[in-house]
Amino acid sequence: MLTRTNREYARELARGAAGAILFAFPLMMTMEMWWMGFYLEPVRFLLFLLVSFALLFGLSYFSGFGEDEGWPDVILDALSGFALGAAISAFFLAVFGVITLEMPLREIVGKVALVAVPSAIGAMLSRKQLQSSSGSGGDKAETEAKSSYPAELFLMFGGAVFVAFNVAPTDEVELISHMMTWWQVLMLAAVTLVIQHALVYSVEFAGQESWPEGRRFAFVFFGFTVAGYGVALLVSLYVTWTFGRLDGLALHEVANMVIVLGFPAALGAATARLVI
Amino acid sequence: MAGTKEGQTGKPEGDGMPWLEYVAAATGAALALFFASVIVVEAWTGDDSKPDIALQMLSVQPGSGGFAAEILAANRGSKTAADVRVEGRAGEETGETTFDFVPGGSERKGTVVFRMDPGPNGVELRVLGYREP
Repeated sequence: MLTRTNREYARELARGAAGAILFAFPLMMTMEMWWMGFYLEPVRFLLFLLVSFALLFGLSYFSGFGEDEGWPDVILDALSGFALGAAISAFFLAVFGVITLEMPLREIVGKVALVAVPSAIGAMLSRKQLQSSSGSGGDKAETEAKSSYPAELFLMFGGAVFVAFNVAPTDEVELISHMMTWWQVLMLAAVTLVIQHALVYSVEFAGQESWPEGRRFAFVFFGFTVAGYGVALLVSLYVTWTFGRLDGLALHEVANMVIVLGFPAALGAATARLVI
Repeated sequence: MAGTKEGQTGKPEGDGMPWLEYVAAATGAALALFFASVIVVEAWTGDDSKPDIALQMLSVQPGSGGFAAEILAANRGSKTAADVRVEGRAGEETGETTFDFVPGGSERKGTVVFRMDPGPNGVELRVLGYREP
């Protein structure tokens, strides 16, 4: 049974707000992000909000607070994370003059809702990351208990979305994929895979995965690294589609762009364990 | 974790859930539903009409570069128009301006500058073109 006072909870909210600002300010200051807020297709926008909420609930389950117990608390944390994200986004977009009262409701809501997603993710992550280290032992034990294979894949998904999101809205992704030739694209894919494998298993960061006991290289490489890259590519495909970047593109151009965005997405997937 | 924290503050509450937590979560749920409903309304009403830019003269002010004619571009359609180029003609003179975006249902202001005073009704405005975002 967990016990928190209002004062403690207010401090948690403040930590979440700090995280929302730290993690999401690059996107608050990215103009493509504001534009997406009003020109995304409604159906894709809704789907995106749904996927984001699934992600928030999952993150709440896996990280939220170490003290999480039971689904009610998981849901409460995800919702309060979104509240923080939306409030912080609305505040800064208003201060930056990106939203004004003269704009129609749809434009304001679109801009705030879109930026609220990375802010909310930041809020959720920071609750754990910026927390003082007391009691992190029990926290860790709990996290370990949750690290089944599907859980691993989910965390990779979360990390991929979060990192890919930071560059996905920018025109540079499209520009880079147009400038690359086929052999550069192939090289990027290969390099991404190598970096991903190294980040997860070889470079020995704190919080890095230990090599599963008695498993051979092939098992780990295909089961985790390649699977993680697959997750990153799917995330990349989904995000570019949501942002309307794939509309009217030839198949090989789609592949180029997915591999280009797959690079940051894979970095996110590989380091998810370090962050989440 | 919960145990140590409780011990530190020494202020356990009856049901273990601060009301602030419910307030924050309820706010999040309400905001999410509100955002979603605004977008659902847009999707549901089936209004995905093409951009339709209506131009209107607001004022003419003398300035150091000539006479600044402020104009209002209102998009009456629901889709966003990007790179909206507008030409203003006053007698023999023409001037132009470009709006990066005019979102559906929104308005943006811009200015066309003339050397001679065109007068409040002397400017003929025309949209030259725009593209999809």
